[in-house]
Amino acid sequence: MAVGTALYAALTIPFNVFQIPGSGGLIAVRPTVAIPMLFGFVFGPITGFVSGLIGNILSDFFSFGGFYWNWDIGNGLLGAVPGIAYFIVKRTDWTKAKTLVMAGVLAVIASVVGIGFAAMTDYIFQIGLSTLDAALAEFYSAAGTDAINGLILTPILLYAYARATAGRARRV
Amino acid sequence: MIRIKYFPGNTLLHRLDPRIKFLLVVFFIVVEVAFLDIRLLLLPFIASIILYISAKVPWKEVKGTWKFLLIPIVLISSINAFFTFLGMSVPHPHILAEFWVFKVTTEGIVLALAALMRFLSLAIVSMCLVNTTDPGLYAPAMAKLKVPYKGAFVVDLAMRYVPVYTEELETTMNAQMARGYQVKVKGGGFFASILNTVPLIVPVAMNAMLSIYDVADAMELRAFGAEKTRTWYRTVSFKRRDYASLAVLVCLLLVAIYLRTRFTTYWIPA
Repeated sequence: MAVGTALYAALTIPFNVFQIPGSGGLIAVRPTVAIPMLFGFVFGPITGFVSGLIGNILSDFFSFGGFYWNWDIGNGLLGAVPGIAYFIVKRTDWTKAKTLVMAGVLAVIASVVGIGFAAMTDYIFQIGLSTLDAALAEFYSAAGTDAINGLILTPILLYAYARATAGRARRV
Repeated sequence: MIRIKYFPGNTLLHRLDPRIKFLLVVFFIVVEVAFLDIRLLLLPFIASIILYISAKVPWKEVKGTWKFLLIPIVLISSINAFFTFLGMSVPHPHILAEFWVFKVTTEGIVLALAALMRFLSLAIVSMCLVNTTDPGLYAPAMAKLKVPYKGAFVVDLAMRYVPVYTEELETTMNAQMARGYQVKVKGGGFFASILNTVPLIVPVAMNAMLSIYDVADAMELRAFGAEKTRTWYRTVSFKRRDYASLAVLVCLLLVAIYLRTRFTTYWIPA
């Protein structure tokens, strides 16, 4: 798990810091949110949470040096929520349509929970946002884009991973 | 090359043990959450600026970062103050100006300024940690803080692999472009932009995930995880200045608790 978490964290940073040209900036397209979701789905909620948490902390360290604990936990939740599937979906079912739909739905739920946590703690602890209206505006925009990113990319990544690891006998 | 913005130097902040700097960040987080009165919030805000100046971080190197941070923050804070309906949720708001449905209130401005100060203080103090701490010392410092060494190793390994994946992302992008991949989506909007990242994110993510096995194997062959503890090549230890700083932090915490009990709520100028 430690290795997987470290590699996810390392993988997140270039995607976050190195902006993909034409993506319209990181606010509109944040493909990295799908990675902790995938890790949660494949390796379980703890790996998903730690991946999202440490990935976000390190990517903030690399990009501008800031540290925002509530957004780090929020990103951890993005990975933890899809981890529910780890306990109920068999590895052999990963490529089935039902599982891919579940991955998309869990990605949307994770975005609502994770970004909801971050935006509400921004409001509750008055970090940058002083009013509920501003917090809700932040929540709708961030959770909406993360949910769509996760909804589209998580099933694609899960399918690709399932195909790539098919036939591998070692731990998955 | 992507790298952590660490600027070597010989200031007090540079010489402090990373653990003290972690505690400093935690102290600021606690104080920022505890203080409601904007006059009290001025104290950590000014303190963070003094700390940052004392770190003698080269301005040229961080100017871009600050622009990246300040513009959206000031914009969001302004929206807080001027374009929300806060005035309606306060029993007797002091309306300074009205425009259509928007009300500019004294309360709105004060709360927006307080939120802005909290955000900036946290940004500044965490930059003090990042800009003055050698990235190679995070993991040994975490180990000394009794974080399980597998946890500390996650941070160490992640930092080690950042340049690898950055390079891989660039290589993949160039390879896909050679096959006709267009990095700029013409039309199609938001969904097309997301789908356009698939040819990049899938190969890089898959390569990374499959390499996990190789890395894990290599580590197991070197008996990683066999012992309950491990030593680190680099280590950190408390010096006299660290004990003194810890004492100052404890005193400041006591002062902060006292001030919090005296100024218990928001302050709005008469």
